[in-house]
Amino acid sequence: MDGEEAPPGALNLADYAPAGARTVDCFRRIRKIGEGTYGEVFEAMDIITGERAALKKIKLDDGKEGFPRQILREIKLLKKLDHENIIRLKEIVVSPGTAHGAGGSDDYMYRGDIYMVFEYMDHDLKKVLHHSTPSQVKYYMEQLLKGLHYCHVNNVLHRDIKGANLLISGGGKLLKLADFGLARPFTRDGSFTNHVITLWYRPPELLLGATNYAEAVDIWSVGCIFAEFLLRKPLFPGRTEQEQLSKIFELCGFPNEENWPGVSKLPLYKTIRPTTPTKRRLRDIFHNFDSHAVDLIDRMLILNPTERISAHDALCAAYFITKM
Amino acid sequence: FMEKEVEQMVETARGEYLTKLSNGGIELSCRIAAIDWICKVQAYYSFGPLCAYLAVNYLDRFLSSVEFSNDMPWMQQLLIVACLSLAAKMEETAAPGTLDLQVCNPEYVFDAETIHRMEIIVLTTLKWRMQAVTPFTYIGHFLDKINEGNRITSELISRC
Repeated sequence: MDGEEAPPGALNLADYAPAGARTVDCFRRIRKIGEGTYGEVFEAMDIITGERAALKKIKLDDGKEGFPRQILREIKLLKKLDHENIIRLKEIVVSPGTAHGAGGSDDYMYRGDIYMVFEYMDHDLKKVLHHSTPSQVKYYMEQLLKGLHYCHVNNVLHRDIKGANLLISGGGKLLKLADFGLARPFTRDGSFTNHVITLWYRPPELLLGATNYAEAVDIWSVGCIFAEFLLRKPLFPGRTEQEQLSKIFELCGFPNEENWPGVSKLPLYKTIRPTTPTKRRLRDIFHNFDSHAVDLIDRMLILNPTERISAHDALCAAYFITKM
Repeated sequence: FMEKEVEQMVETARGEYLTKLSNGGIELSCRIAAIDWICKVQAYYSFGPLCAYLAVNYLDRFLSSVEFSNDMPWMQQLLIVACLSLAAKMEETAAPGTLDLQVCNPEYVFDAETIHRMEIIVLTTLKWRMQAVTPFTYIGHFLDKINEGNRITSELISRC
């Protein structure tokens, strides 16, 4: 009897997987979703389970470095983080025929490529940032802070919080932090590069050249997003680093040793000078909004990073306790 | 979390890897030569101890899940270079390029493309689990406790 024979599909799979690794052939591409720093992102479907997924193709340049360290670190972090508000890395697949010259012309195109397989999310937050209802905003903010709090408890800084890196699914019910390409583990007295975080969401300490920073950098970005939700336009849309600082100081006041001890020692402090003596007037632009929301924004956008509210304290703020 | 660690441990100890090692097979000679070379490179580039430890961890886990053949001695060296290169990228702030990594008179020298390929084979074989719990994970924690949360001084470290 031939009944004992395994279906052809199963046999193929076994052939591809010498070390238990699945290949990109397990997925059917649906469409290209976007293009990140490290390559294209596709929507795809798992041929076996029918599950939808987002495949991020890792650009492998033939440089001297070999497998990119940024990707190695992103994979390490994503494997460590397991939370409902953080994107889940389901698996990593390779394209078939990694040997030289193997396969036909089709194979040749993605020979040796690596794909990170993420759970599929409907769209990013950028799409809804300028038209969300107050109750949706509260819902998104709570999830954003929960995900971020989890990162910070696990000593991980995200370092690139912005609309495009916050993904939404479940009919707008679920928010997850994504793109940990710039994230890194931190220690209390580590020193890092200050060239992180998209300009509009970059905190003053980074703009002033600090290389020893902490969780508060992410909170500043969250504050900017929160404000953008209410205002329905970016809070600090600077085009250059210089202009970014001016826009921040215009609303948050000019930093000095009194309101931010140590600020004058930051590398770029001497290059800035107040155009007009500015006082903090951040609250003035939010005069029509829920006062609890404005209170929280006010505490997220404090110039001095050590006084900025933590993700944990933000979740305990009156804003999240009061019902709409 | 614990389950994941146990699974990784079991994988390493599975099969006859330990038996093979104690019987002094090819794995044993490969491992001794590997550790010897890794330590030399570690000293050359002043890598931290965690980097060397991780490289050996990758090597052990790779050897325990893949049958190694004797007739391609260059394979051993390639594997070791790939393991060390990955470990350096994971742990060191400034890791040398894969070509520069091949110092201290290795028997064979490989081009970047070959090492890159081997790195991917190692990564897939280890199922992309590059973070291993090591004794170093705990040292920092204990130091912190001993010092009652104060900044760790180099004096304290040297006394350890």
